[in-house]
Amino acid sequence: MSSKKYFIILITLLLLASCGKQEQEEITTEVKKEVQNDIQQEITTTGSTKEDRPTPIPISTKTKDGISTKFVEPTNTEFDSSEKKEPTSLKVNKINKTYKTPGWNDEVAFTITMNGNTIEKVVTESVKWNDISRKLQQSFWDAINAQIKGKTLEEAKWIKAVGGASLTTKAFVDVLETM
Amino acid sequence: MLYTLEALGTKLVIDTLDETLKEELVHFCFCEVKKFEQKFSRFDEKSYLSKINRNWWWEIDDEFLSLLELSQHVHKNSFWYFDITLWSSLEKLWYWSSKQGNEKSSMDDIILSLNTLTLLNGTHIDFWWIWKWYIIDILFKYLDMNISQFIINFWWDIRVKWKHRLGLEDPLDSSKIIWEVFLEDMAICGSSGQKRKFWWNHHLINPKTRQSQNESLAVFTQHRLASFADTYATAIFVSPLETSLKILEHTEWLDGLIITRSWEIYQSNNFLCTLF
Repeated sequence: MSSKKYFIILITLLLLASCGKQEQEEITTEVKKEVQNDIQQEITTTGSTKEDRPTPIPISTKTKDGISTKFVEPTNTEFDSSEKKEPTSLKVNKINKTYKTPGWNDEVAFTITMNGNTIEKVVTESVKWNDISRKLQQSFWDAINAQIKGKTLEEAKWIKAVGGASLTTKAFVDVLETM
Repeated sequence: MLYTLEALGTKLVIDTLDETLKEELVHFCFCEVKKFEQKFSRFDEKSYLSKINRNWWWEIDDEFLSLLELSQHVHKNSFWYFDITLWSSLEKLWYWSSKQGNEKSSMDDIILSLNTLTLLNGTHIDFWWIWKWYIIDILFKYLDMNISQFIINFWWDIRVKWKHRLGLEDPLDSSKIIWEVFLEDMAICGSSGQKRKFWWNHHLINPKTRQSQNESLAVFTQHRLASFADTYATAIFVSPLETSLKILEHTEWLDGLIITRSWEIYQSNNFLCTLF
């Protein structure tokens, strides 16, 4: 085959390749435009508010002790407006507490859920911390629910250094005193 | 048939029973994802996003503009909780970086005039999540032109074509499925701080406190578009519960499920799921 023929075949292949590439780019541009139009369309419709739309309500309240226990109480939660449950009657108190650690003031928020006059569960959240106190606050949270669930406020005040966190425990007991 | 791509430190899966899907198309889709990763990466200094963040003024393309407009829209509709200017807080909390940045920057520092973007007060924008949601919608279009049923699953962010039954995992134990959802031509997206965290730190930051938000365990949202479902899932997750409920209440065509840390479950009217 002469070099001229090689040259023609090469040019043809290049042209075919560029056509394919061009076609692919056109599709890409077209698709992107379509998605951008979809977004624009949704911005105009999704943004609109609907006054008669009901507020989501709790459909069920499950209990997890701390963060590691098994999921319990499976019930049918298939949504049916006739089955809407009223919001839970558990009383939830969220209290922030500042306490002093060596060279530092830490702050922790305790969310204490009361079921009647007994404690249902406690959630702790670090607000101000250093690396050590945060680790201790986590240990406290890991251990506290197993120790106080079902206890009255008075009974719960006798806990000591839960999860090895004596200052966090003291801060928690101080919060119980105020409730 | 399952096709998998490692991208953005996570996994993208295309799942279909339609045997007419050609491998060339899957390859093309994966190449597109890689192109987007290069464009929007916060870690690559040569990326389009990094160039914009290095300059305070830039002429942006239509794609970037579209994602910015979506961000601003959800910012407004989420009572200012959705925020793409938390770069420096994220660097500090999550990447443990000593990089200096303006920790007081806000969405007000983003000025958009036609295609011109101005970033005030040293503000950096972080798009790594938004492009991930947007690419799901792009891939959906490519696949939709060729096959009749499929699932695109980009690590908790899913969009399906045709009818599918999916499981939602327990936010505290990924080996368990706790709900089953039925989807038809919809997207479902999840937000949770449980997946990648160090103590209480994770990548979902409340812009008011500049700390990781830990009030909810997980949020799932449904919308026609993955980009919308996911932007709102993030907005709802980083908001306090009261605000989250307001967002769900007021946003048309958006449905969701919120699982709080105290294991209370809130579900909007049309979010149809059953316990597994």
